[in-house]
Amino acid sequence: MSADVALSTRLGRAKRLRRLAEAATGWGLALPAAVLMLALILIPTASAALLALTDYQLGARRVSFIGAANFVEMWRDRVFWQAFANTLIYTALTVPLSVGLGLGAALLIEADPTGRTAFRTIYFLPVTALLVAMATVWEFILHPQLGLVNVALRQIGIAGPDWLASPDWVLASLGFIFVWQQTGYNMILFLAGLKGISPELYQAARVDGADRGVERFTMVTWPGLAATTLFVTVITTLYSFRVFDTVAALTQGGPSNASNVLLYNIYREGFVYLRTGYASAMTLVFLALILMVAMVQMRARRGHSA
Amino acid sequence: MASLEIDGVSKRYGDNLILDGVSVDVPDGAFLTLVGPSGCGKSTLLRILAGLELQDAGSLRIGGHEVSHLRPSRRDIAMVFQSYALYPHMTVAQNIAIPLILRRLPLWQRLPLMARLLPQARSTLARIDAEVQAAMEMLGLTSLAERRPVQLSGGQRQRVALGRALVRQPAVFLLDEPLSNLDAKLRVHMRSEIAQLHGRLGTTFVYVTHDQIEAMTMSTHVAVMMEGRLLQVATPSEIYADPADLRVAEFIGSPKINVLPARVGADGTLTGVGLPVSGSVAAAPGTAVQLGLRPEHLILRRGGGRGTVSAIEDTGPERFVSLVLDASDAPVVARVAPDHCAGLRVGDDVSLAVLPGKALVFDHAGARLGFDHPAMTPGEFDHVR
Repeated sequence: MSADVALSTRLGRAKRLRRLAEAATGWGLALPAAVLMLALILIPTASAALLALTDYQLGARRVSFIGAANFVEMWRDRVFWQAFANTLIYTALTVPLSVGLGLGAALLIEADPTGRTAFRTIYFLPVTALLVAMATVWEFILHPQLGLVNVALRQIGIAGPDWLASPDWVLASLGFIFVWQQTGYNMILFLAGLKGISPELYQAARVDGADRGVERFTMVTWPGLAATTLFVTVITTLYSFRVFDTVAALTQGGPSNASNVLLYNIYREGFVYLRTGYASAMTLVFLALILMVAMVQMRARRGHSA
Repeated sequence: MASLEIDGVSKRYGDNLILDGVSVDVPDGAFLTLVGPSGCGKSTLLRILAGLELQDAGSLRIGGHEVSHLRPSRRDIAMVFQSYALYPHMTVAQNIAIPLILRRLPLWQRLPLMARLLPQARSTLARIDAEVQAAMEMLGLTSLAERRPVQLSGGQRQRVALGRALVRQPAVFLLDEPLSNLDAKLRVHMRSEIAQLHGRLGTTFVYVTHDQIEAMTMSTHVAVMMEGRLLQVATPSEIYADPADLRVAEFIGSPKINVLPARVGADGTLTGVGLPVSGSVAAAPGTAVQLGLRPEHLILRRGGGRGTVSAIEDTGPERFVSLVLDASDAPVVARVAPDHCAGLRVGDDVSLAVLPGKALVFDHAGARLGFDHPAMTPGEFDHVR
């Protein structure tokens, strides 16, 4: 009897030990990733959150805790709100266009095998281009007098504006450059999505009576691309929020903040005016915005799979 | 319901001739199975029937009307695909309703709000719903109406695909290897379910498969295809007992038919087989021929020095004995009762005879040759048996 008890406790101990070892292995394996995440994401975010509550200026000797003062200032900062609005407008302009054009290009390329590889390459080329370098090319194309666009417009009797210096046109012009680059990327994602739709579904639709392309698109293609479209839209929105390089290279936020966007504003406050504390506070707001978009995607995906 | 006439249909992909002048008439209400090894063109023929591909030559008539120039949706056919091809975002009921909705409601009336606003669209939808309910009831799908395809088992998906096909009451059903994605047990079950469905509907079925059991068990007509040609169209029993071509004889039947080389003797008898085969061939003496012997048409006896047993397989209800004939070195399989030659072992010496009237003779190219059997008296038969 007691031998049995001893045996069972020994077995219990062995089991516990094994479970402990298993847990240790699990933690060990997760450690490198956890350390990296801590060092690269969580600690910087936490320091930004801390800095946001101070009046720290880059290189300053003194730093004092000022509570929510940075956020209050942000609330009253006209430039911040303009950058915020500009970012939203820019996103509203570019996301539907680049997602729609990407889908359109993918559908056209998929519809006919003629020159498929060539078209795919052509549309994808802008993605591989370095935007800062391409910005100079765009600067020339959009030049008010010598630029390709205005020379062409002049041929048909239209006097084009100074695309990058007109407060009315500058956001649209920058948005166009974004669309030019992002469309190819979205196209590739949509092409991959299209590959995942069984050709038998299209055949079934034809037998079932979907004679028109529109019907087959609504019955097979669009539902089949639901997950892809969601992903592409979220990715494009995030990229669009993060617009910086074209602004920095072409307009520096001008004229009079007409093309100032959130990220550029943060950069200017933080690295030009050296107001690290204030920039950190804006970074937190920016981060919250990005998180919101990501959460919309997660929510939608869960709804989709259920 | 309609007959189906396929006349001289050819199809070529680049240099590959996929279909080479295929012609077959399918009577109204028949269950025609297109069977053959993969790549024989059977699926292509079905897709041409459906209108999903265009033939290079030849014509197709359904119920006497030429349909070659018609779109798939105008051919009055329904098709069940190998992958079932159910719309993943729609429920079972919606999947089954789709062919009716597409046909009876114009595009603008299908918009979500329109159906609710227009009384006419509403009554059409109500009628469609009743037909869908009837189809689901017929297939035992009523309790699954609101499920989506991902939530269904393979057999259930199969039934939804059948429902989507039959709800429209088409003239011809086309089925493209519909059972190949199911496990073995379910396949047997669905086999009889589809055959019963055919019996109930009485519609013409064209069924593509590479599985000879499916072909033999379900069809009224079997068409054996190879390399883009139709080798023979006949009832299952004719295909088995009276094959027109050695390739047909070899494709249908398991274990495979035994093929032995032989030569036509002076009086038309077969020589060089290594076992006695009575009868005379309609071919010139000296012609090399191929003798086809079904495993169950061989009579196996111990001793006699005609061959040696090389393997024995017991399946329960029957026993397959593989042996090597001394005369020709050809491997031969005999199918016998499980208690036949009890105690027989590998290496044993055996003799073989052929059930009278059962030998099939083919020429060197595989075409069937006439073979006259002498009439047997009942007594003689007892002796052989």
